[in-house]
Amino acid sequence: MNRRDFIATSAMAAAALPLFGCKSKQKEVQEMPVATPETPVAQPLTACNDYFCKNFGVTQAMIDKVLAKALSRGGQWGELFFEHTRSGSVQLLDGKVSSSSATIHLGMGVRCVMDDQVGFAFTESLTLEDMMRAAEAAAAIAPGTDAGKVDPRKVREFKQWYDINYNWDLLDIAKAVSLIQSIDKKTRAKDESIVQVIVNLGWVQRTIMVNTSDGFNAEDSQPYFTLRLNVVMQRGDEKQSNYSSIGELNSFESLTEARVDEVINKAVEDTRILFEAVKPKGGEWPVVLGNGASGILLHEAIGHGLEADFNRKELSIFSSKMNQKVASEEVTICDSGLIENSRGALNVDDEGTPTQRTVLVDKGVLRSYLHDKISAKHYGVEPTGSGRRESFKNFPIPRMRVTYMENGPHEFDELIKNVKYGIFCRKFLNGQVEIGQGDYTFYVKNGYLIEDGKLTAPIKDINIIGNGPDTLSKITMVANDMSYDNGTWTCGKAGQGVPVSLGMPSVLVSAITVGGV
Amino acid sequence: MSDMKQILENAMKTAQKLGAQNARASYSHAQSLSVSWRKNKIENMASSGESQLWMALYVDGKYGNYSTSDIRPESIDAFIEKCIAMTRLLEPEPARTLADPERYKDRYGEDLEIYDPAVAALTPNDAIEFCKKLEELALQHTEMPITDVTASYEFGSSESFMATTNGFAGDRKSTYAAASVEIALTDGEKKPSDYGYTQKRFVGDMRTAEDIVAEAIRFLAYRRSSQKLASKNRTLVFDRRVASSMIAKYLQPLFGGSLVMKQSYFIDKVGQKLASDLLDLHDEPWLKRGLSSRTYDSDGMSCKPATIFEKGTLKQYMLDVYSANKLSLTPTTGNLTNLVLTPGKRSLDEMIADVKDGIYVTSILGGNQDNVRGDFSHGISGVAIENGKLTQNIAEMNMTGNHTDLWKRLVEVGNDPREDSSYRIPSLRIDDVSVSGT
Repeated sequence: MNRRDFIATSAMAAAALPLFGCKSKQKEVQEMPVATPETPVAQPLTACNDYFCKNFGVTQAMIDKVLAKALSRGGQWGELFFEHTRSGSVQLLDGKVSSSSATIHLGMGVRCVMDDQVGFAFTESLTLEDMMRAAEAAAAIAPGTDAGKVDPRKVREFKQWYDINYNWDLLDIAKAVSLIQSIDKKTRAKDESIVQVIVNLGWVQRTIMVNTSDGFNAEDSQPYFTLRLNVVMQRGDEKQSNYSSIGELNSFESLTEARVDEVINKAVEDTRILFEAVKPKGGEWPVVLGNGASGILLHEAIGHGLEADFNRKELSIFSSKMNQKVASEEVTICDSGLIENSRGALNVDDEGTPTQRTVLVDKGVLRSYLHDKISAKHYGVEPTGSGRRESFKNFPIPRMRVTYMENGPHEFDELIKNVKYGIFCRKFLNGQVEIGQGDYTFYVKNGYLIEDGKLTAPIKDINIIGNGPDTLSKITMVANDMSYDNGTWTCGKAGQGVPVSLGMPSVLVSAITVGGV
Repeated sequence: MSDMKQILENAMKTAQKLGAQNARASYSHAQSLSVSWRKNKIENMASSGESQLWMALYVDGKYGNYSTSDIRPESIDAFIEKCIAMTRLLEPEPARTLADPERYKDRYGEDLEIYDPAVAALTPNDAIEFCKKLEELALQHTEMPITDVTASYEFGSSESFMATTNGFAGDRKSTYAAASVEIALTDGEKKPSDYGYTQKRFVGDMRTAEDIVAEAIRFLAYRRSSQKLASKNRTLVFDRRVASSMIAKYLQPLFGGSLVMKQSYFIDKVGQKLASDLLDLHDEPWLKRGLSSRTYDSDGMSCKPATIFEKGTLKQYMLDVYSANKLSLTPTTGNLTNLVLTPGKRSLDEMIADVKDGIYVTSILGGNQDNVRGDFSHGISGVAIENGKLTQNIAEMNMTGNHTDLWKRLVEVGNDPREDSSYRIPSLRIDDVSVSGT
């Protein structure tokens, strides 16, 4: 209802409210060459070529007819979006792999656009008759003048940031079962106080095709997976729980023993330390955000506010700040689909535009919004490949992909030494932002107090609240330890969830309001 | 819709033929239309029609749940075959069973009034006319520097059938119609917004456009020139808008899923007094025209009114069949329906007038909680209360505490539950909550 957007992780089993969950771990990879051009597999996309024709009989002639129908009342442009998503999961609880799930979504959405007006309809049946009916409903947004133009087809080629030939739908379930059984055994062996272990392996194989009225056909197949481990420990009467997870566009085989062991170690260590955790004093304090998952700050404090739909409508607190200095020169912030195997990577967006790396803030100066095709036309710029949708049941809107900050000049230790009393945060569950007001929050699961320039007592379960432009202007030091996070982040906007990721070097923010007692 | 029933029956037969000893299946179809209106024209109009076949399969003591929107007969058969093969690879779980057929009996027989034929007759033009009115009314508020008005209207209907291999069969049909307006204004560099809304089963029950706009304008006024207060413990008066969210957060670990995972501060607490006498909470599945009214739950068990808290004493967990089996308890239901907190006698204004130093909380932003221990921390905004009067608007503050003692300090419940929500929770006053600001 309200104009708010959030990000949440999915590691704790869902209870009454959809926003709850947790996630994430810091990837200890150093010196990611984020500023240099990435080197992808440079080849045209062919593997899912004609997927919808071969499997569901959707021919080019049908596509042409439905597109023509969508613009038949004078719509300026539009597109068809086909989707076949096969998802599944297996879960272990009480030492047993005792439940599984699988879901199929098949359908197509039709959009017809007049400047900033959108007509949209979808169907779960891919017969010509049903698709024509959807196109007719979408077309109704247009005034009923002469039919809009549909250009001849061209195949859109693009680079690959994940393996489009991989197919989770062909996974040998027995292997998945034995993987999560071994995770349970190894986890329980780590600590006698463990009273519950929950392991969930889930996958989503999302195969899409976009046909735009300006002539592009683009196909992609996206192999998402999430591995989540929850641990509950009990010492005397006291219980604590925590989690660790990995979410990527990658294969089952990418879950090597070393990576799985890292998930186990993090879940166990991050739970153990909670028995010693204290609450900080509430108030405005300096906050050091650790590398990796602290990118949640960027996602909330600036990322949503730079989505161009909010700006073309002048609803964002950043609407009037383009080309202005919003942060210190140490701060460069990007949003990119070009991070190999990242959960936020994209080959092509859901409007058929190849994705890119977009520099949002360059050395402290605001330089770009995140555009879909509607906002790009409004501003007279090229779309940034940011038009995304949850499924064929939704029309696309500007969204983030992998939002990260580039390295600064400082050592991590320098940041901590600069703080007399404050907190250090390294593990997060979720965040939220009010786009127009600029107020944002994020929730800290693990961190430490900083006292007299040293990390001291662990802290837990604290919300942080600030205002986007204010916080950006208070980033006083950026460290040189940038890393990408590979947690199971999902971003929510306008009721649509899309997978995203984050990256961050450690930073010092001179003051934010920290929850406490 | 006999073909829907037919699809369901065929799927159950196929599952049994292919090796499932038991199954529970449902088939649902929903359609809706939504219009968003801005700057005197349609911003977007979306129509949808979606179906889903969902099955819980019990194969050789093993369990999985599956769904598909691809309902071509050949696809369904292939899908079920694959699902059964997947289920066979799991480990047996004796707690996975269908409900005891005794629990299917005594289903509520009267009309719940959740289907309004008038909704089916609504047209896009009706939606547009309502949106236009919302926009016009909002723009009349020239006392505020309003920069944007977005109005929306949505209506739809859904129908579903459910059956089990041990004798359950049920169906339900419902409609809804909803409208909302979001209004933004300029406040220095900030562009805060707020909203008003209505949502009903019957289109004739919707609140008027005047009411919805008045709600948005009232809450928008609380967002202007906001500041932070100093950190300290204060009395919080939660508007009914956010009171239901506070109750929902508290009840989160009351559900079987959390209890089975040992992630709940309610473990072994049934029968104990956990909150103040004012926490008197009931689940009311049979409310006429209720947004969550229903006659059977997702296991097929007949819904009955239930007491969740009686004068602060926890009376029951929310247990579906699986969780109850896991915990060796009797199932209650896994689904909350219309949650009713017994209202108090006084209005919100009277409640506020009694507070010396506190905050009237009108919005909660983000935050989370630890379901094992009850620790929580959330962003809040609203208005400071000084000597019974609303004074400075506040924002960008955090409230932090623990659910296991917070509700003992529930000192007043208002008389103003909202009927636009499944959670009919009046405004609440809770004393002595840690609030961080400057």
